[in-house]
Amino acid sequence: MLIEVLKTIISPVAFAAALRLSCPLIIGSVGGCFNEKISTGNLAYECFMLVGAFFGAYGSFISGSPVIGSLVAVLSGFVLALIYGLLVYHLNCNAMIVSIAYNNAAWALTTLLLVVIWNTRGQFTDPRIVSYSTLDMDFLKKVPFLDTLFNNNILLVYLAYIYAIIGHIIMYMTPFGLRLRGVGSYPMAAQSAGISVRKYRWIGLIIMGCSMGLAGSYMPLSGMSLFSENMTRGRGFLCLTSILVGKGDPLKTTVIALLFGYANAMTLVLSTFNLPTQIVSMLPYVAVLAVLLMVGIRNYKGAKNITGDTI
Amino acid sequence: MTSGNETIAKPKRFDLTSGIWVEVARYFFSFIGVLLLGALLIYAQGEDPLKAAKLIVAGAFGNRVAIGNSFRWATPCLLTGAAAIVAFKSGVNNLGIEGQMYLGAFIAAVIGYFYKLPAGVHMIVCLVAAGFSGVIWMIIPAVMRLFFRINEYITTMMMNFIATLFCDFFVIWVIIPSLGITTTTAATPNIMKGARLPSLIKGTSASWGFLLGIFCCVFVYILYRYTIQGYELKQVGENLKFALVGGVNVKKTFLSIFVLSGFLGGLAGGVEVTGGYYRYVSGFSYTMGWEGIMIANICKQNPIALIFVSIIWGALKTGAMNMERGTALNRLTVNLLQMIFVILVSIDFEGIFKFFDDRINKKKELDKIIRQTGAQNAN
Amino acid sequence: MQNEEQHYLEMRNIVKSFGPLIANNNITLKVEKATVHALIGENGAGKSTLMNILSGIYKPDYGEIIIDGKKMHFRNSFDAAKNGIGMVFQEFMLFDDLTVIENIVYAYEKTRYGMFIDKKKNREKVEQICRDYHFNIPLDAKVSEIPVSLLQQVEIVKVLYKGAEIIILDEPTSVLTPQGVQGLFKAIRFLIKNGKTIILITHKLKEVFAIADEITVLRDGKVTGNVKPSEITENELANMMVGREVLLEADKDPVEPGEVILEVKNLTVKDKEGVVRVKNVNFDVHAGEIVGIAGVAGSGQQFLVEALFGLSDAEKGSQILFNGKDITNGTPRDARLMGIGYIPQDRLNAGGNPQGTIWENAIMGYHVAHGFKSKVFLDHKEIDEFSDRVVAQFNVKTQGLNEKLKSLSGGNIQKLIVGRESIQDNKLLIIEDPTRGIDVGAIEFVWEKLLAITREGKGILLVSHELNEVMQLSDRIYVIYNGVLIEAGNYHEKTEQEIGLLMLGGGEDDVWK
Repeated sequence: MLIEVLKTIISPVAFAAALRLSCPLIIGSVGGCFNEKISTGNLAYECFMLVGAFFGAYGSFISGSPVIGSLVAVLSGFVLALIYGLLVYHLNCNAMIVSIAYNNAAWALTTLLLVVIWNTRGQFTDPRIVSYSTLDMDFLKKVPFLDTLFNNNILLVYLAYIYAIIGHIIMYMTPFGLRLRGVGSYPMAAQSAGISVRKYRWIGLIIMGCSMGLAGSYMPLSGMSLFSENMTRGRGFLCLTSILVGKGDPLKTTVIALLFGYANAMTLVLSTFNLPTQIVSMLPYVAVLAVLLMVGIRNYKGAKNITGDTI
Repeated sequence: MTSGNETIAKPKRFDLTSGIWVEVARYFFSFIGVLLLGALLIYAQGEDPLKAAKLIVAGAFGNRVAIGNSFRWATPCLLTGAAAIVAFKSGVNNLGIEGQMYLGAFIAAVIGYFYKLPAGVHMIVCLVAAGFSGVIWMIIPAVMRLFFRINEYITTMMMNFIATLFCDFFVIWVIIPSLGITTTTAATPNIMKGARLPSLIKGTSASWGFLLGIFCCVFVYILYRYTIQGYELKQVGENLKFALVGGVNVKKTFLSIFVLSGFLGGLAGGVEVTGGYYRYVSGFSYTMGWEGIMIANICKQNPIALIFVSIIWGALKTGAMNMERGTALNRLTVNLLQMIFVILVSIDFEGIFKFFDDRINKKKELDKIIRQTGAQNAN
Repeated sequence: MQNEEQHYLEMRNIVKSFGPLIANNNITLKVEKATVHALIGENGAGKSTLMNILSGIYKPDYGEIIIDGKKMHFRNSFDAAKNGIGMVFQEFMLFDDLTVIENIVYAYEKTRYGMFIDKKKNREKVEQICRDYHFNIPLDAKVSEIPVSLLQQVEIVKVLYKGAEIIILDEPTSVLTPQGVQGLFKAIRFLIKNGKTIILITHKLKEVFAIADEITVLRDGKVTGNVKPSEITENELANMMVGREVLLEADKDPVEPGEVILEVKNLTVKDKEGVVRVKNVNFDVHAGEIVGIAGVAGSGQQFLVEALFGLSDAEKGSQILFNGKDITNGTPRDARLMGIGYIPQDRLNAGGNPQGTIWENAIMGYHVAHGFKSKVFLDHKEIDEFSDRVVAQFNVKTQGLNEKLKSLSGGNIQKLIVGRESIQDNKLLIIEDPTRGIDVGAIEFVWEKLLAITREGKGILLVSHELNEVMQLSDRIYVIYNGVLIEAGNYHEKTEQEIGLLMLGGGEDDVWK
């Protein structure tokens, strides 16, 4: 039994599932990195994702094209980000209150829209919500391991990993990324170098909103062709956690998101063995806490150092 | 430059930049905004806004059962709100109230079902154990924050995930198999009668938990208003350096914030089990913990205001259910409106008024300086 | 050059005021190309304001800036930087999370294909600058990981990278060790040789004589002298800086000091970077006397006080005795419980809680050390009684005990804090800058109260940047310079000029190495 389990854990199927399941997390959190780097205490990831999921389904429903669906989802994230920015940057609302209100309102909003538009509660399944079709690359067919891993995925899955790399390039190789990081690190210094802090805060927020919208659209359009109440089920918070632990570095964040995705995949592949999947799901969090603790112990600066910054 | 140019501003009669007037304006505008948006939302769903409003009020306060239900749903808000107030008033970002609730509920459900104790004692043991499980859950972030300066922001949130998974694991893999039953819902069996909180209003779902919630709010109020410990807690939260210089034992005080907030969070879960569901149901909280944080922040961390806001919150929840029964509307409409209200109330009206005020003043000031220097150079 | 009168940089008749305070009153500054021009003056003399105007951060109310014969109107700091003015702030404008090279090129990156940072080109240019001016800095290290002395060099390379011709250094040596200062001076000489112009803001005379070609002295927002170092002595220069008329005199009687309360032996304190800020300090405070420590900002007085009150750790071998008991490396709580009061310099951060009410601020410390009858509950009657006492005796103008502290004026906040600490039954008061930024009437009031406290037999350790204050109040005077404590005689034994010279690092040559 143990060997069977171990075999399943490292089987290509498990890795393939991890790649797929971490896709929305990666897309969302890579975009969220740009928001994290400008440090404004935004917690509303769940909201952006859930609303994105709804509008992804809706866009695909009315147009019959998953790409349009995703675009509508991105647009919804953009609009939410605009409102958020207006409230927090210009009307000086407390970012935490707005974030929590956003998250709670998202559930209500999407469910209401579900009722208003499709006149149903709980779940809406319809073939008119067209999912992305899977891509097959013939040359991979012959390679056994890579075939399971990289074939039969939808476009967004490939996009997620490209997105992570693009995110890294933008963050660390362009003037824009450098300035954005500076704005988050020490706004005063950025200002003294002639950089508009507010402009970069806006840009970071909008990138995050659009990415989370796109990430949300993965869920209804990944083959199931349905939208259900609270479809994201905390995935937005997972994105946020990945970002916080990865400290806004797109590649590190991607690794953490992959870890969460892998744990998620484990719960699926191990379900046949009748094993406690909760423990498996718990492992990444415990591991991350342990890593944080280790970093903390390494940086321990003596008992009197209490007023300093936290990590 | 030096700060020698401070002057006392003369109070104005209708000063919208501070004081009571800005609060009146804030709630007035928010209420009008929500009424308009709400009417629009309900109208869009093809219903009469007036009828919906009537149903909400009737459902919340129309009869004994309605009032009881309002109190029942106000209870978790009271407790999680109190937990949030303790934390946020003292500068601790406890985002883990949700997790503390789950753990508290789980422990209460376990003790309530598996141990046989005398009637009243059983209930108290359940609640205290629930509170302490919240404390234990909060100790980990506290130690990480205090000694290793790891932001509790991240750790408490991670602990939320761990808490739900941990409880679900025990329910599904330990408790349910040990009973030898098959069930489709991940929930513990009902707790014993002796472990349940007595009903507050006969025939309704309101329990003594409501009173306990109010007691906790009043306790927090008294703590901050009338005790030395509370005074220190407040000073540490508002200005840590000041408290340190003043000789407050900052570490101890900081730790007690974590402990108290965790206890109230766990207690909230315990009350949900002993006074509400009578068992631990996986995912019972939805977003109660988060709502507590939100409510605590909109009532500006005032525990007495929290009592009223919580009752309104509970009333809206039960009223919304009544509205759902009476119309084709979804009760989440009300939920959405609540959130819009929260956002509107949190708008910094003070700052907006001040902005315009400053622009006028700045122009005056500038004119003055130009006149002065002009005169100087003429000399 | 058009005519002889034309200097490379001229600031003419600059006026700048902040509300009722005139920071720059008709200042004219002329600087030659490729020279080091020292701008000296006490704290608050208007040096920083003048330089902030030059670097485009403030706009002058009146006056003009002329560079190389051209009249300049800087819209913002960006504009000033484009016109060749670079400022190195006392507080570094560096991003901790970014690497050194990223900090240098920030907002002025060279790009490839119009979108990517051209790391190679950037690096070449920065390395070129480092070679030309003999800087040796690790370009790929994170800013948070390198020592302060290097940070300064990073700032200088940053302004050079942006093409600065005129470089303003604001108190560059205050964060440096003597070796670091030597390195900086070497760098400055290279810069001059390469045609750059340096404006050096400082209040350390030794440095002025070591490096400057010309000196402009400011006092109270006005120019009091414009000289060459060879034409003037340290004494004369110190006179120009601090020799103001004495506006205030305290009514001080000679006192008979009682027994020793505080004894400090071999106190050494290092900051977080490991730089020694207080070196082997020895002194004592007797009951009934005021011991004054004068010194310009950043001389180590803050670390000294923090170590005494338990806010910073002292190094091994240090000993602080209070009433004969060893309190080295205690906590502020211990200090309070033993009867030490502390009035911090930063009254809104450490001294008070602006969001708190008057009574909350009034009882802080008292509730720990002396306390109320109940150890659990706040007895509002007792609190009101105590707070009223503070407010009444110290003449705090307030609308009631429930008013927020932040709505009080600076003078009243200060009176409240002084009142709080002195009404408590403390045996020793450690006071930092008790009259900073408050008006003359309030200053007189606070002084009178401090003298009254000593008459009750309490000891006071007074640390101040205001020399006059120390001279007027102290029975014994010390000067702290670069972390070393120098005896400066008893009350009225030395003149203000003599002590001023000590504060600025003149006089004893062994101090300045």
